[in-house]
Amino acid sequence: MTTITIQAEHGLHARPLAEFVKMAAAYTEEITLSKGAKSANAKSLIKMMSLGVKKGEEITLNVEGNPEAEAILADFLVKMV
Amino acid sequence: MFFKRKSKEFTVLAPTKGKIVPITEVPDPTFGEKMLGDGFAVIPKDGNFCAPFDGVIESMFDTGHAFALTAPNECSALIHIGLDTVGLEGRGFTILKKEGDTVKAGETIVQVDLSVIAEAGLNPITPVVFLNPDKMNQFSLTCDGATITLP
Repeated sequence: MTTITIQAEHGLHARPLAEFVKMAAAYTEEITLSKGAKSANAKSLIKMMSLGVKKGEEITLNVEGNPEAEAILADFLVKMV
Repeated sequence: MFFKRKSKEFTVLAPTKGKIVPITEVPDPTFGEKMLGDGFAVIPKDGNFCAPFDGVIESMFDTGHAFALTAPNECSALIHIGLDTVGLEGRGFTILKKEGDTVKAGETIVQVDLSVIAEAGLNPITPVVFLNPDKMNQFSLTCDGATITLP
């Protein structure tokens, strides 16, 4: 599990999420993103949108059994603008 | 004599009044290159943005600039009002429905002051993107929106 603080000015909004979901969908592993008690399938744009992640909020990324993929996806979320 | 089974058609209305164009005409790769899926776009002439079909609001951004709707047949669409409109932080957007609300086709979901989008120098083109290609066989534009042929 990797914890990330979102720096993107407008949080996780539609366009960056679209790119992220596309990346996540390329993996066969189960990928979840959580904010507080809410957890969402990272391969579903709608579920990710429903998390409503804003700038400065902390989220947790988990890629089941694939730390390399987790590092790549976490890096994308960190660098998202 | 035999009967050809007619495939089910799902009618999708444009979310607002305006010109309907293929999604490939949206000048943003996320939409125009179908990164999210197929769909269409409308160049709005009116600030009332409605449900394109009967369904449940699955997601609504706090800023009102985008929402997702899911139909009982499980087709889900993202309606993104204007490009880069997230930066308006809700200015000019009035949200009338919330997540979890059941809506009818044509029911207003967000009211937008299009002059705010214009003054900010943003493009008001509104893509309607279908997020689950496995739920649709064929997609065609009509004068009112689009028709999807269901599997």
